[in-house]
Formats: sequence, C-alpha cells, structure tokens
Amino acid sequence: MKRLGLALVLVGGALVACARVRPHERQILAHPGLAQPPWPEQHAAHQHVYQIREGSEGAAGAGGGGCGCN
Amino acid sequence: MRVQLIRPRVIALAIMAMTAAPGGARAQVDDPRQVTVGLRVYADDDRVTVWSPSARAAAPLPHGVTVDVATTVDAVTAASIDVVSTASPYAFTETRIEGGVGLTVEVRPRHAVTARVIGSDERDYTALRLSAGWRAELAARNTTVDLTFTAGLDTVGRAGDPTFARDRRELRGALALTQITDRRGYVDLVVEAADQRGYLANPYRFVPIEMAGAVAYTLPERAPDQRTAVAALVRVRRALTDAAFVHGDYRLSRDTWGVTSNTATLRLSRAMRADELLLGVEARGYRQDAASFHRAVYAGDSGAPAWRTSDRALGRMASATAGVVAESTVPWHGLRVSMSAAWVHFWWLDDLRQSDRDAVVASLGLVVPL
Repeated sequence: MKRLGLALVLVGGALVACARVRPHERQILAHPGLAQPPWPEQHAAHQHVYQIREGSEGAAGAGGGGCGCN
Repeated sequence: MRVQLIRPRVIALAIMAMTAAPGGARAQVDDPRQVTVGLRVYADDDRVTVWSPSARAAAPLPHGVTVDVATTVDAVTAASIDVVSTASPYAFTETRIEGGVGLTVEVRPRHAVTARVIGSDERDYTALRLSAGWRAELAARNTTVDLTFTAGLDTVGRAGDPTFARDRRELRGALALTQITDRRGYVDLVVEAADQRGYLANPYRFVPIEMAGAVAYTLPERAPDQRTAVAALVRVRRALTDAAFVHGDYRLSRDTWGVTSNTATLRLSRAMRADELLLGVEARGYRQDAASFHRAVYAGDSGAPAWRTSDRALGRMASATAGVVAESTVPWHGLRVSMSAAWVHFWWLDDLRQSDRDAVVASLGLVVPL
C-alpha cells in the first residue's frame, strides 16, 4: 500500500506539470473516441458482469472528465 | 444455491457511471437533453441467462439544474450447477428492478453538485443508495475533479424464509482526477475506498467440511462483519491520429479480507465516414488472490472455522475479455445507435465444482437527443 500511495503522489505531481491547452485547440479532445467511457452501454454491461463474478471492485466506473470545450 | 442478483457494488457502479457523465454517452459536450434505451444480454455455458432492458432520461431545468431518471430490470433464468445441485432441483427465474433519480446543480461556473437516490428490489434483497458529489473544472478547464460519497442501506433476505432479514451497510468515497495532457490526450486517476458492515455472507451458500478424506457435512457460509477496500486506477486516453484512439488503464484493488486484484484494459477505436461511425475493440485481463479465509473445502478435525466461504468469486481467479463495438450516428434527429458483443472467460483456480466458464455479453443502445 505504501508503494501504491507513492505511485499516486508521483502521478498526481506529473499531472500538475501538464501543459495547458486552450479551448480553441481542443478539437481532437472533443471527439467521441476520447470520451470516457467510450461506449457507455457496453461499459455498463461489462461492469455489471464483473461486479457479480469477480471478488474485488472499485474505481472502475468513474473518471472521464470532459474537454471543457463549451 | 439461489443467485442473489443484487450486489451492492452493482448499484455503486450505477452511481459512478451516472455521476461521471451527466446525460450518459458523450461527456465532451454536455447537452443533457436525451433519452437512452438499452438492452443487455448475458449468457454463459452454465445455463445462466440475464436480459436487462434499461431506460434513462435527462433534461435541464431552470437555474442550472439538470434532472435525470433511470431504470433497469434484470430478468434472470438460471439452471447453473450451483442452483441445480443444492437449493433447487430445477431452473429458476428471478427479476430485479432498479430505479433512480438524480439532480445536478451548477452552483457557480464550472462547479456542480450532484445528489442521487437509487433503489432496487428483488425477492430476497432490497437496496438503497444515497450519493452526493461535487465536480469542478479547474486550471482553465484543463483539470476536472470529481468527488463522490455514497451511503448504502441493504436488507438481505432468503427466499422461502420470511423471517430472515439481515442488514448490510456501506460507505463509499471516490476521487477522480482528469487532466488534459496535450492537444491529443488525457490522463485519469481514480481512487475509491469502500467500507461494508453487517451481514456480508450469502444465505444460500454452504461450505463442505471434510473429515477422514471425505466431505462429512456442510455448514452455512460465515464472513466477517466488516470489509474495507481501496482501489486505484490510472487511465491514459489518447488520439493516435485524427480518427484513431486508444484507451489503456490499470487498476489495483486490495481489501481487508485479503483479496488483491490486478486489472488491465485496452481499447482501440477508429472513426469512419466523417465520424458517423465509430468501431472499436476491447481486451481486458483480470486476476485476483483469494480471501484469507477462503477454502475449497475445510478440514473439520479441529472444529468449524469461525469464518468460512467456498464462494468461487472470493477464491483465486482470473478472467479474460475480448469484444467489439460499433456506434453510429443515424441521420434522423441525431439518433445514435451502439452495439457490442464480447466473450468473457472465467477461471476459478480453487473451485472443486467448476474450474472455468465461458460467457457472452451483448448490448444494444439507442440515444435520442431531445
């Protein structure tokens, strides 16, 4: 768990260092191919199965902020 | 062994899915006015079939408020080895109904709060989930933060025994961070913690007790009355070209029962016909270690163990998924149609009755913008 916490801190720190992208530069980011989840119905169907059949869970259905294009 | 359809994690998933993307499918441009209808089908070679129609509608109200309602029905037909060999001599059918309503309020520019209630009911299980969340777009909308808290109140019953009712409680918190990395991609970081308390076993499941090299008798499953889990996921989403995209993620999960799992997923997609068609493939691999008190069979020489389970989902296991997806925008009021099919294979490395299983999962979705 300590290694996991360290990894999270490193990833978080790296994220802060990312370049800022202006709204007019986000055409590709707005594409449905980059949406999260990319295919909501399929994603929901699969996660439903995994939640029932597998013994662990969490952090699977969240995330996926948008591009802030509008 | 009857199949208790509703697991609290299923509702948690529904909450996370609806909270992360108001209106469902296309979070890139947030127009919530749409109706989504879907049908999911699960079928495996253990003769379990589940049909799940669903519907969801979202609409804006004045003052920056968005409301959404959703419902899902799971219709199960099961004649699995677990059902036929223990509780029931024949296949059974069962239905679970889930419904929810949510509100999203933009409290100030680029900051929104959400509240959601989801309930579900089947013959031997009722569940209620209350969640609240906050989403903010920061750093000139290069960073999105989602924070969600969920409380669960469940009652576990047992078919044919109206006196059996056990409480199960859950508290869950999730933090999701999305960062635009450059003009072509994102990185997502998700951390989620969950604490479950109360009756956490399955009232239909029994464990074999072995004496002198043979199964002498069975005892009801017993699990600790608390389970705390933490999971973390890192995801990269990137445009390889203007029409080709890749999603890759890795998740690590651990809990106080000793279940540790690793999950890796890769999705590739390609846009065609001026972005009217999106085709994709997906592959997923999963493996987990067993719960510390899991045994395929227990030695009864030293008495019955305090905690005992032979649930194959809590033993050493792995799964692999391979699937395809197609999504198309139909030139009629912007209707979007999506179809998917996937093969999933499960391996249970410690189970005495079933070592593996093949399943097919298919889905069909229609999104109608209003």
